[in-house]
Amino acid sequence: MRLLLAGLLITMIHGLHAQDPTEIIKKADEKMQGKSNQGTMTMQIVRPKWTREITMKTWSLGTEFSLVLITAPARDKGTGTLKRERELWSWQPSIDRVIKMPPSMMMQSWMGSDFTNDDLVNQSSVVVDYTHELSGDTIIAGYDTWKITLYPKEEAAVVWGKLESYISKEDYYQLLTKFYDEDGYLVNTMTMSDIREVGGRVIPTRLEMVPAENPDQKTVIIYGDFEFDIDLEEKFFSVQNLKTIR
Amino acid sequence: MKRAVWLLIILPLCVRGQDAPKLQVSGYVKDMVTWTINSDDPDFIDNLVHNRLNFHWYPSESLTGKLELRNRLLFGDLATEFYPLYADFIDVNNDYFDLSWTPIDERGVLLHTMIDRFFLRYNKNNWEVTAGRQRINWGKNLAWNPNDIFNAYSFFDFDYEERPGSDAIRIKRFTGYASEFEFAFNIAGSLREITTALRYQMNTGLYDIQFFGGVMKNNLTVGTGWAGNLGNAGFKGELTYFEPLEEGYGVSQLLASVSVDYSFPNSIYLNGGFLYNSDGEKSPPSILDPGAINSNLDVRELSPYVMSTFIQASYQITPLMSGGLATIFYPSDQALFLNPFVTYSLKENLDFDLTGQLFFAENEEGEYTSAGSAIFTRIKWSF
Repeated sequence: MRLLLAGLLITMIHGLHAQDPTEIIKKADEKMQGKSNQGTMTMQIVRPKWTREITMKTWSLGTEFSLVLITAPARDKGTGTLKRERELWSWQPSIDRVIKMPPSMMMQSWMGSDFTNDDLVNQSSVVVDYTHELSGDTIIAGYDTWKITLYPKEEAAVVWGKLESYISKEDYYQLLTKFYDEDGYLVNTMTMSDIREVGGRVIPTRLEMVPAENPDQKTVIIYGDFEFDIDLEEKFFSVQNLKTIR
Repeated sequence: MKRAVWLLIILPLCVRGQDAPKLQVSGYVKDMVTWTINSDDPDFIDNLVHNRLNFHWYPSESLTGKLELRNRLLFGDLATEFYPLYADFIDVNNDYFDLSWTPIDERGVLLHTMIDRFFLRYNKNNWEVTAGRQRINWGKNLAWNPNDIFNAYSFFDFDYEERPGSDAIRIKRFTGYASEFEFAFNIAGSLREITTALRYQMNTGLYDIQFFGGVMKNNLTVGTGWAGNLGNAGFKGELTYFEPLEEGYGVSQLLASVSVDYSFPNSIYLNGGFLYNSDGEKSPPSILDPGAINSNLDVRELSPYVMSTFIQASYQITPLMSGGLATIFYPSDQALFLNPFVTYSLKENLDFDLTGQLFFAENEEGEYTSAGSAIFTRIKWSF
């Protein structure tokens, strides 16, 4: 009897703990990012009459350090971006020049897509830069999910007014995220799907961003090969590597 | 000869098909039509078929070899009117070694081939050594780069996006994630023509800051440059001072440029810059000096004016289309350069653009008028 009670208590504590919204966001984020990762991804910009595709290799360590190398299309192949905390450099191999970018470049669209540079290089962190509130649960794509509302902290350099994120209760898949501006209007809807094994993890590998104003257009990111929690140090994210990595 | 040109275009595609991992071939084919508007004489129409080939060789982890060349077939009114001087006007970007050829030089048609990168680079641990024709890019700003003492480029020469190279030896040691020591030596025919300098760059408080000192064509030169930010705006600057070692090799001269750039969330990008040239004039005879337009510049000739100002606004109209306007204004005599441009992505790897270069200045009668204009349309296929 005592054992049963203890067991029940542990389950309850565990259950309560798992429902801490910050913990949920942290777990979902860790699942997609790891402490570090490297991989390949393809971005498609889809409009009713045309599609453009960009492929790239990426390396990242936490949210502070990242390196992106464009591998296609031919016009942009070999150009790269390095981010270290608040600093951003762009590499133009054709003129052998590293260009320091203004911080405001972070808010700009990444190569004409529905993503900002900030989205791509993870400048802001859903864990650190927001407060989290559990605001219900529902079923998304057959998964039982928590609905969590994220509000940016005052000091955080974030462009959004709030985010609503739907995370599966069992596996912490971040299935749906809605981005609202400061006036509370829906700006973007992000869905994640194609759940499969990548680099030893089962995660959604297809991410679609649809702007609320133009529902017939979208940007799709498809994860290719990925490795997580690899041996990457801060010093890897250097101008020297930006120029030489292939 | 035309067959040879086609071979140069087709050959890399075959190499690429076999996908040799150690050798990468890339490049583009462009066609540019230039419409030169002459106020008194009839207008000129010229055509330029431009093929660039980049051969990149990676024999090992630490060794890289690059050979890049441009083949340009020019035909039209300029090639007819200015024959036979036209070939000399085109064949300008060599350094110590003569790596250019003119297989066709006839009235109305010119074929020019030039190697502008040809180097081996060794990169291991914190060292990088490069020998051969290469671009030594020390500039920080967009429009004017007084720190580019090795190979300055002209903002007007927009069709040469890769910019010319220097025949040089360069040794670099990386001392941190954005800091480095660098020694560069430009090969020359005589002691007085040598350019060589030491540069140190460091990163502190979100700024990249560099200092350099050396000799440029018989002038002692020292300089500093930075790239950082003021709030969310980028803030960059360059200062270079020249002191001739002998009479007849220029005058004491200070060049200084600063620029501020900002990118709005709606993707409007603004860049404003300023250049000061202590040896400039208030009202030079012409900004249309062929030397200034064709990028074979000495850095001391970036602008003939004491003060030059630059403003560029560009906007991503759609993911496929962007446009903008760059303006250079010379306040001392109100000369003005307007440079509107639009680019459009027709297909993956196929781009179209339209560029205008419009100059306005006071003429000898004191009237403010067009001082020469040209419109360029380009279509570019990258591979």
